[in-house]
Amino acid sequence: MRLLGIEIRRAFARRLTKMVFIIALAGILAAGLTVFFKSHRTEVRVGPSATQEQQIKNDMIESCLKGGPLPGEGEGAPSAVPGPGFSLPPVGTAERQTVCVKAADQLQFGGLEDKRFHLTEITDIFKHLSVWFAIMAWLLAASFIGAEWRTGMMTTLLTWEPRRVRVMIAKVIAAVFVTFVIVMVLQALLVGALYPAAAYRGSTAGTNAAFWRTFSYVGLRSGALAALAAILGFAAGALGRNTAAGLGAGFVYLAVIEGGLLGGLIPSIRPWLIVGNAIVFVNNERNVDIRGRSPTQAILLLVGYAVGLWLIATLVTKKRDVS
Amino acid sequence: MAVIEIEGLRKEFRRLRGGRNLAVDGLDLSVEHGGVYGFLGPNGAGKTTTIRCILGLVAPTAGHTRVLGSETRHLHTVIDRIGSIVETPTYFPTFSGRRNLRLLGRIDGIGPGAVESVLERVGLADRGDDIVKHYSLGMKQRLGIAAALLREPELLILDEPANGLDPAGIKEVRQLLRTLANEGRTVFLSSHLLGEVQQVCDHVAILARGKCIAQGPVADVLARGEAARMVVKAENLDGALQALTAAGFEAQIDADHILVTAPAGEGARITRTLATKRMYVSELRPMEVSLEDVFLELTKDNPS
Repeated sequence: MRLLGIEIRRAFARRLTKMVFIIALAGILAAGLTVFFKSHRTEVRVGPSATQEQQIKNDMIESCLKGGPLPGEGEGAPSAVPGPGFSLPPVGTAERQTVCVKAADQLQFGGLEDKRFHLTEITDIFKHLSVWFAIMAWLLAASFIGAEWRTGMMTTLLTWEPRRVRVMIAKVIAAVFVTFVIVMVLQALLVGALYPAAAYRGSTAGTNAAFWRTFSYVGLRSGALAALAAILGFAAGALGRNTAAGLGAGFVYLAVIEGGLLGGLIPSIRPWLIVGNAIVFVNNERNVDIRGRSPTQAILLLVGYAVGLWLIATLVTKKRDVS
Repeated sequence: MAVIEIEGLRKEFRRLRGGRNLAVDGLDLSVEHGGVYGFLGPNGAGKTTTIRCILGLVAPTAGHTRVLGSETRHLHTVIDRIGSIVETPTYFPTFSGRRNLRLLGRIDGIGPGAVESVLERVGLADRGDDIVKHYSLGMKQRLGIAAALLREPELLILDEPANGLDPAGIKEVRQLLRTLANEGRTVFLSSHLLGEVQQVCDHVAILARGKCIAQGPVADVLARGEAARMVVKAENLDGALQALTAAGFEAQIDADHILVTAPAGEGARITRTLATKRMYVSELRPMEVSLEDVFLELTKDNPS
């Protein structure tokens, strides 16, 4: 437990951890301000100005009088056409002019658009952000172990605690704990940053107990995904004994092997790939991205991958020389 | 009682482009409790690899090591009685020296009082709050020694602890090592500073090409190098050389004196030889042999 406590302190005190947190904080602040100023207090009327509207109507009337269609006909707009069987009066007659003008007058352009920020949108925002949180967790965890190997800190530590498995357990728990806490704190701060936009310039409608419950689960799933990414990043960093190796392995696997080769060339393998299962898990919906895959199956598979890779990294660390 | 026992230790490393590099070749060593034990060898002789094997950082290809009576795989049972430095130890660069030591100490439940004590002992008390990345190499080395002392260890395994230290620092470390030995601890010291080793060590082992080529008390090892040479000074060096070689001595001029290959007991014969030729000796003494001389002599056929 002492070792775990020390590793957690070290992980929180790392420069990269602080840097990533500050960058994320700046991003959250910027997002909060942007949404606040872009959100409108009321619904906004959109469409052409009154002069433009009159001009359009005049053009339509003129076209109608010359034998063209009735204004609004075939455009999905309300038509002045009285009903089936109705035919336009002949061109040049007063009746035609009456019908054309009446139809044009009934036309309505534009409408009201809701440009307000709704707090309920935050669930989708969190789902999208979960990818970035996972990348951040991978980076922090890969660096947490990779930098220690590269700088020789691991050697110093192993002269104090030679049981390598114990060290690996303490370190991975620290990495998972720290990334999970950071992600949860950042999500809480994001809610705090976006809330004023919804409360004062947008809408908080629909934020009942059920919403907050659903929203909390999304946040927790995002945190859990980040924790799994941390384990994978940690394992990759430990195997490569280098941060760059850990990050490079993650990028090459996810972007090139999984995203390109496996996903594209062997469609039948998709249910077993990381990204698809992560999407299913975060969305908490069956059949999202992978047909037939339930969120429970997805998380079990992801946990299996993460723990499996960590076990491999631990065995390699146990056996490999420290030189 | 032996605090370090090494039997038939062999370590091979795979080369990147095939083949194997033999770092340690059947090393046998026994370090008894107490005193300072010098572990010498040219670069690449296998000193650091041996230390890494002792500390369980590297798995031997063959043979085994025991520290404080414990096999390497059970090293954790005695690790709190061992303090060590392997090459230049690394600490968190953005933490202060004091904070680094406190973190390490917490692993064993060592409190801040002990940290202050070791910082004082290595002369880092005033710089303890400085960030480690701003430390000089010598200060990092002192921090490493402080960390090694933190557990009040019975056995100190120090790999080149004087690396990067200035002469004053080297002297301080020498005194510290002697003090530690006088306190009843055993110091296993790997170093290439032979003069320092000679001054501070009670026993030495000399390693070359992964093999131990000499070991024992410093005086015994030095005796091996006393290849019975005498320093002779006389007025007419050329004449004296001629007389001595004519008398069957192996001799050569070295600066302002003649080096005669002969044991100290041959002094009388040397003076008699020269006196019969009416040449009189102004100085005659056995040549002092340093550990460096012995080391170079013993390792000249075993370059790494």
